[in-house]
Amino acid sequence: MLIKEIYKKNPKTVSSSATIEEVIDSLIKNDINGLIVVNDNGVVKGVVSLQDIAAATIPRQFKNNIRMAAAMYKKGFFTEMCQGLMHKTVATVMRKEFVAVGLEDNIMAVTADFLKNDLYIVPVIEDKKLLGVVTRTEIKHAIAYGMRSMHK
Amino acid sequence: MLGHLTIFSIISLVVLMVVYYFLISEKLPKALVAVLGGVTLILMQVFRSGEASSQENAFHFISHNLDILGFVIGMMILVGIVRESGVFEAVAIGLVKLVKGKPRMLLIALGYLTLFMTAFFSNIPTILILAPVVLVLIKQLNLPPLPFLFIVVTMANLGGAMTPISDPTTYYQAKTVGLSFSEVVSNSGVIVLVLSVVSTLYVLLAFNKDLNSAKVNPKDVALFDPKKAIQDKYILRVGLPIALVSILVMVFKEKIYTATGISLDNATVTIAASFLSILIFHKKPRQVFRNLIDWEIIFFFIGLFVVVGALEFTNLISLLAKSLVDVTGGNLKMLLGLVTIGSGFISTFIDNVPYNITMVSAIQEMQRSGIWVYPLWWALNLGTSIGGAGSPIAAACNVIVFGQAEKEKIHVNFLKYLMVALPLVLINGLVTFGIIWLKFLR
Repeated sequence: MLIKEIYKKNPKTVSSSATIEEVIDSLIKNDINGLIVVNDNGVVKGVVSLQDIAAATIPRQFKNNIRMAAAMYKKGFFTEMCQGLMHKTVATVMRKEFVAVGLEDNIMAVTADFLKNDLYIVPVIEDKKLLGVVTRTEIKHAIAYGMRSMHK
Repeated sequence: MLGHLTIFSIISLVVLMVVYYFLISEKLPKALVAVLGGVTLILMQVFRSGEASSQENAFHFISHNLDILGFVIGMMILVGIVRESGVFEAVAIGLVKLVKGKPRMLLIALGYLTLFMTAFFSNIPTILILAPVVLVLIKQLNLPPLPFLFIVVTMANLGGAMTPISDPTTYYQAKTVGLSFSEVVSNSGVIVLVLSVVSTLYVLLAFNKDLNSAKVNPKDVALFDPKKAIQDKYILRVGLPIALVSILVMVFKEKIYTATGISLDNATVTIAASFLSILIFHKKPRQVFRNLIDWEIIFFFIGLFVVVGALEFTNLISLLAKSLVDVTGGNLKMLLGLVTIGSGFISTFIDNVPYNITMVSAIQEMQRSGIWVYPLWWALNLGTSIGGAGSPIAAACNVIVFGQAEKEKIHVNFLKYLMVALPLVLINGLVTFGIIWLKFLR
């Protein structure tokens, strides 16, 4: 199975100067968990997922020690962290070094990449043009398709 | 002095200077520099004698110190496993709740927690446990970063001189010289307690303005629940007692020997306890060896034993000792001042491990020449610990704390730090000199 058979066309994008608040609003409004970040010329500059934003709301120390997060609960701290983040630009949290795939790449290699690098959204780029994305939803559909194909 | 130098002693000195250059400049990793320095000396036949090859004699300096390496490895594994229980974080969080987050009380509590944890678990594991807690507190309670980072770094360094098991260099000195646990605690440890009070008062005064501006509502920490920090109750119930028993055996080993004739040495005790822990808690040895043992420190020590060993083998240590005696006219008070305050300032700017190992050999040489050096052991041990807090790069635990702080965008200006730290190095140095002088030389 190749990427051209499963990728999602017309991906939602966001400007690299957009605020994180705007990104979250877009994710909620479109019911998605990741966006491609582009500059004013439409060139892909990075990817941002819900995980990247969530990671920025949690102190690094809590990520390494969940129990510490539970033990050091301060009312309002989560709100403070979110509010500290909302006006920052998406460029501060996006992944600048990102994996991109082409239409002829195969699904197994891309899935392996997702697992190894903890990816959530991958742009599909051909001839430097953004054609679409592959997210975990596309991987889910590909697995379902693969299972049904075996039964035929 | 120069007339006594042989070609091999000159080579040893040059290699030492090159090693120091790379250690200070941090252009290359420490372990690499130390081991390559050692290997260079062996290959250049510096250690060759009529009876043995260069390698054989050089390796003697490593084999003679195998127990130090064993002790360090054992403690790294033991503390690393017990740490997984979350007990240390629970204690720290409990203390924060106890003092209701009040900035000055918090500073004192965290400082003394660091001191006593270091005394028994050594400073790097202590810092790895406490630095994350402190950094979260700074963020949650909007605390001024520098006072809290400074007190933790200062106490971690001072704590390293408290007991023979609190720092590898203290252990090296105690083992090489034959100082018992109670001797170290009753001399160095007691002075550390005095210095901890001096340092705490200094920090409270120096950062008075910053601490005044910190306003913490007790409600901010009211919902802290230290019990939730416990990650593994089995390790807590079984692993912590294993660690505590090991520490008690190391504390009382001389008494055990006197009472029973059984000799229990630190390396064997910690290796036994740590490998037993690996077995009991079903840890994968490969993961333990990879994740819990800091091999860089181990190889750093191995390399240094050879590099400093070359100074001893080529009689440079004797020359150093003689020079120190000549400069001071053999006056013990002057030697005491030189070693205490000199060690403090030297350790502020250069890695204290090679300096400490070199000076132990030099002081032993002075002893052989008939000088009563007992006070100088405490001067050296304390001087290097005092100096260890003198700059953000003076000790490995400082580098860890400020490295983690940088990741949180807390930047500590090097000069600003020196302006606060250097006066304390001097004050602590003078206090130490005064106490040792009063106790032994008056």
